[in-house]
Amino acid sequence: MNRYQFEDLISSYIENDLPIKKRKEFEEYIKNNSDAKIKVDSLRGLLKKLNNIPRIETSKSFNQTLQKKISTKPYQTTKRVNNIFGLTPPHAAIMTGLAISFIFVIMLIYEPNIFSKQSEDQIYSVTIDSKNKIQNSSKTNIVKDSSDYLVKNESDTIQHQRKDFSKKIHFVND
Amino acid sequence: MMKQNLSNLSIMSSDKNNSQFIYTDEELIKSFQKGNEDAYVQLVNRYKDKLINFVFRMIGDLEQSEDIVQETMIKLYYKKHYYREIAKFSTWIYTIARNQTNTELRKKKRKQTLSLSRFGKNEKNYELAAIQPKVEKEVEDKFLLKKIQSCINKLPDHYKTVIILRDIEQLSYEDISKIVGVPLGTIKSRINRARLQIQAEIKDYK
Repeated sequence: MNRYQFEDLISSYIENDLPIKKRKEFEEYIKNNSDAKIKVDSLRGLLKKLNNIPRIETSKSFNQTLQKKISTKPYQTTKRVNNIFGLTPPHAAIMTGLAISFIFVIMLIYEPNIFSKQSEDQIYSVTIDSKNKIQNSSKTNIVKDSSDYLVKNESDTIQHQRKDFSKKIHFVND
Repeated sequence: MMKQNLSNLSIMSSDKNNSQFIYTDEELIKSFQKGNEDAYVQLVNRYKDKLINFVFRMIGDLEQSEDIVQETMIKLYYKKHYYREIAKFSTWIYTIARNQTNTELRKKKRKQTLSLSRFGKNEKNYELAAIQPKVEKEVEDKFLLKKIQSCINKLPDHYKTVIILRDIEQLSYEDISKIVGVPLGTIKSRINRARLQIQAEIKDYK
């Protein structure tokens, strides 16, 4: 028997829970090992102390408080679940999701361009907005040159922005 | 209607030791399941002190322990029909108390309010007024007990539960195994390790 086996069996030995063969082995070990004997005695002492730990009692008003709690507190015997139209919150969320996706699909079936049309309109309105902005800014924007001030108008700006690639394009056969 | 019978609860608590008819716990719960509230009162009187010892050693706060034991008793009152005779009543009630305690411990850990200093403060409040140390030996013993309790508090929950149930509440290994829901061999090994840990900690105090 080694130290680890001894430690594993120490409680069983103290509580007389070891088979005879193991018990003899254990006793042999503690006979030859004084530290082990001290440990066994010390554990016996600890168990005695634990068994004699002072007991606590409930307060005198325990039963009265309990009686009061039972009489006044409505105890929920069944788990209360919040319902939304008869559905639990997770189910209600799933159903809402399904309903929204159903409406979406129906709209797509009956009017497939509804969303693309909208986006075109949006782009168009954005373009007009930016055009107006450019007009306003180009009218007021004065660019300082080394010699004089040049006022650029809208058409100039757009022309500058649009590069002419016509001369750069060559067909292979030409 | 049934709750009116509970007025016996406070009356019977005073003469709990004088009861001439001794029924087993299982007989009492059976009777309570049939509607006899006096049986409930007897069960409360039988178990309230046992449970508070167990819960207090786990939690370290007397007031909170009393609340937990009361919650356990309220559960017993409202969920009496959940008890089946296949298990011992003591095992069942300890299991309820343990679950309540674990819930409380988890809450406490979340709030990080559990501290040993708090335990010490409470212990001072209830520390048996009857024991007034006059002799040096008594003071030493008291100190050692305090040290042992603080060692128990330091143990991991799964060690703490089993050592309290075994060495303080003195339940059998089989009952502890049923309460904790862990195989018997594991329970024995946990108890042994918990004891060795406490022993190692209090070695210098002897």
